[in-house]
Amino acid sequence: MKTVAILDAKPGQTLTIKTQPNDQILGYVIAVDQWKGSKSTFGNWPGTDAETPAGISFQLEPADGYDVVIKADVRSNGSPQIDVTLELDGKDLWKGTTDFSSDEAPVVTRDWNIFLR
Amino acid sequence: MRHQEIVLCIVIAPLAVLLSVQVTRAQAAGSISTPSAVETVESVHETAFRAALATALGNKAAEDIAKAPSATTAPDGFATRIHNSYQDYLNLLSFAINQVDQSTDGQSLIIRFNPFQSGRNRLGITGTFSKPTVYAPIANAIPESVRDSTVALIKDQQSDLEDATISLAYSLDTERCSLKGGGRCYGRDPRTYRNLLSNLMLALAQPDTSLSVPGLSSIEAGTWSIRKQLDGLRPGSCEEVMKCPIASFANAGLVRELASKLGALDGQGTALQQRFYKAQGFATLENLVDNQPQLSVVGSYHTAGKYGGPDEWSLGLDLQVGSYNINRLRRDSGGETSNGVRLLKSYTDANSGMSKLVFSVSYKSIAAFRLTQLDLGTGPLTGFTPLDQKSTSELTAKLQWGTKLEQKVGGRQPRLDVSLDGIRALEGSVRTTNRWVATTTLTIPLGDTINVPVSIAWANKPEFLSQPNQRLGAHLGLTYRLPWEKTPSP
Repeated sequence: MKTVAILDAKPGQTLTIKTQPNDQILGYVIAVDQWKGSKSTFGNWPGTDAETPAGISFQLEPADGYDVVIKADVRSNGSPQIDVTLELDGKDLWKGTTDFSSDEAPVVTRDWNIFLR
Repeated sequence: MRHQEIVLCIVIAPLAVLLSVQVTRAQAAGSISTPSAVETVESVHETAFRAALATALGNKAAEDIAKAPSATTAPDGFATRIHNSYQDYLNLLSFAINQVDQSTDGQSLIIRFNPFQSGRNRLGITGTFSKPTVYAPIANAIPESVRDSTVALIKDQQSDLEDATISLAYSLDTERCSLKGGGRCYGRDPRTYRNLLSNLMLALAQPDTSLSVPGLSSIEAGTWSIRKQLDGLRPGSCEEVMKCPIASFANAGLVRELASKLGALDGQGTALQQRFYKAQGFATLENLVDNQPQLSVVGSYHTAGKYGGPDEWSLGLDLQVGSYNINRLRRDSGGETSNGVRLLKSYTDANSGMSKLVFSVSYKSIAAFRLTQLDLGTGPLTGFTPLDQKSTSELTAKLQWGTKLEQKVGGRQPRLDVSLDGIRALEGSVRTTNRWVATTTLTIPLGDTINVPVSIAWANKPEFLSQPNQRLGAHLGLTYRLPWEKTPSP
């Protein structure tokens, strides 16, 4: 697990997560945890080529915040990467390419924290 | 009659020639390799993360991990130039072209056309235009006194597109493979298996399974708390906390400490998860994909132009398959994801029987090349030595199969490998090489760090059984002539 970004949003906004892996990514999961007092699992989605172009969208419920976690099974050597875009109400909140270091293989985890203000 | 000798070789390699050597990349703590202009929350976090991960994994040598910048030579401008020159024509063909790449050295432009896919059958076509060169025998046939200037003149007359290669690649490639469903899946493109593998991982992401990472929840609570503190301290001038310079915070010392603690916790959490997923067999997924049956046939034709050398064509077939692969997982799991997750662990524990077969055969033919005179428009060059090269052809074949044996020796499994290598070359109609060697090797582990290979080799000619050079250690060999072999005449 590695913190990639610490971001802010408002309850009621729609968060969209879009991902595009390279060929060093074998399989991956997009997990969202909701922090409201204590953590709860909000949703888990398999990262697939079929779904990711449209992205995964959901409305942010009132809570302390959310933790978007991408867990990827990667090759033991190579340069695994996923292009990640987080959108809030259709506008970019965070956009970039996340390097998944293969020395963390087999499963590499990256976290994006979104605090609700 | 050819003598065939079976050579029994006992190869002993002192100095633990097959020592297991851990090679680790070194990465400087923080930004030692490339001096950082600004210290940010991210940079402090990264340093602490790497150090904590290395410590948690017991890899002290990797505490300083550096990515050393390497000096690079500027690539040749050939590929860029012809790419730009023919961009308009390439745009017209954009419906058919999948990708246009330039080689890293800039000397080749590679055009990949959209592959044709029909069921499992995939046919790909690639065209490559390389920077034309002057065939070395032509240059050597030019008198030395005028060689450089003549070669330069030849290069001026060569056109950009005259060194061209066209390749056709056929492969068995399943488009999408799922855990359920009959039949076999072919190919090793991760996109084929991403749905399947992602759903396997999803089974572990569900909260109500008994498969949770021990100790992770307390680390996650700790990181959440620190991230919240950092978010509360974010200066108004900075939008994203991790990218904020430490100096921009009102309490830089506190922020630096929080960033370091967060990195350390993230490192510990990563190490926990690495051990957990390895124990669940997720490192096996990579091998299961790589062991998928792969069949490909590649043919290519290369023409180098009038002064670039002889035309050549080649045809190759490659077949690879491992015994433990995705097809086996699909079969053994009965299409059930929960079974699939459980089987990953057993496949890792099994280790034995992970055999792999590699078979490849290729044929290459180089056409005859004749150049009786060199006339670049000013008449035949005086002193030029005519070239008359015969055609050549080469057939190579390779077969390899290896497996670990179930019976353990000193806690480790011996390995059995069988290989066959052959090459048959012709120059004109004269056979110049005909070499075939088969080897069976049993590698017996002695202790933790020494392996003793015992091999039996067969060759169609005795002179092909010379011992390979080894940089470390010496080896002993015994030859035994079978009783029915005739003693060679003096």
